[in-house]
Amino acid sequence: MTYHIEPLSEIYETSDGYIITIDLPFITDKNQIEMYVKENELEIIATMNKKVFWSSFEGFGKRIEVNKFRKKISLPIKIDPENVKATFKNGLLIIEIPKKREKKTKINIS
Amino acid sequence: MVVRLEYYDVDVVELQPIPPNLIAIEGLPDIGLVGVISSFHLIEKMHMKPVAYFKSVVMPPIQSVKMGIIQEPMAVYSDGKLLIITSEVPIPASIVKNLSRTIADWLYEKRVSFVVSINGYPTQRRIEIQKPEVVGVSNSEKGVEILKEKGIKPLEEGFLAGIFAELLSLLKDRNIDAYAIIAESFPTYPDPGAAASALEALSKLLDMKIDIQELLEKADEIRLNLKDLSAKATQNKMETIPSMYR
Repeated sequence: MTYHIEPLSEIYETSDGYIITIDLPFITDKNQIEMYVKENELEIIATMNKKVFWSSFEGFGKRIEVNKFRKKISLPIKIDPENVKATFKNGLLIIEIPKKREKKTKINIS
Repeated sequence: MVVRLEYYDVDVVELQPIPPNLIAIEGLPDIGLVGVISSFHLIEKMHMKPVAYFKSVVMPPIQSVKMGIIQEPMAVYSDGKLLIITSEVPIPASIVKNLSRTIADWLYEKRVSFVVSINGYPTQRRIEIQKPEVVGVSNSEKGVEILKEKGIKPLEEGFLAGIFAELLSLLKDRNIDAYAIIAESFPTYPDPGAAASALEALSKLLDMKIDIQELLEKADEIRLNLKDLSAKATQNKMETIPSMYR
């Protein structure tokens, strides 16, 4: 049986939006990665170029065969798929999600 | 012969006599697991054997098992020239002070010639860097001159935090020369590229040849297998750093 595991990821919030990086060992080409957006949730599925053995503390060190990474990330904003920019470089997926620029309304103080 | 020595909440169990004048390398879990990756590469390439291990009541109750036999996760390996201290499990923030003191006292007692810590320093621009830069720190002016002579750029200014920072200071108190080799690293991800750069600097410092090609070839395997340890090590490291320095 082949399993999927969760990759390591980091989320940075900037004044313009969010930058997410995901570490994807055994992924060598962007075509191995699928990315989906729904409301405020991002889902990444990446298929490795081969099946590999992996063990975790939680699994009492039992080695399992894995061939996919799967990760769901929720953000506090609704994601506009048109404005999401994703690049894959040196085994890292970098996703940039801009914050929607809300028009500011000036309030007069009486 | 097994010798058990008790220090600050930490026991050191020696599995065999340890001769004096060895060069000690500290590669405990830290940013990018640069020290851990470097240590296990050296242990494997130089066919080192465990010569001692550390135990503490405040360590998580974890044992690794290989071929049905328990292996001590925080161990000391040697080939008769180097003494490498590393761990397969994260070091809880609560034990950092006592573990550093234990290591410093034990290395003093073993009369090592000098100590080198291998570490990473986190940089967000690591994604753009093909070959991470390395800087060095010493606990003496003479040490800084040696770093320069060996072609390792000394860190001019900054703050250090974690076991290696504590060790540099504690070893100075004990008149033992110590160095830290610090490579640019991913903040959270295991970084074999940073370890390769650190090992290149170590080879200059120790005047010894270290083959890093195999390390780079196994980079994917290392990144995958150390992902949980790396995440936990980063989390523990953040707990050891006062908030104003984060």
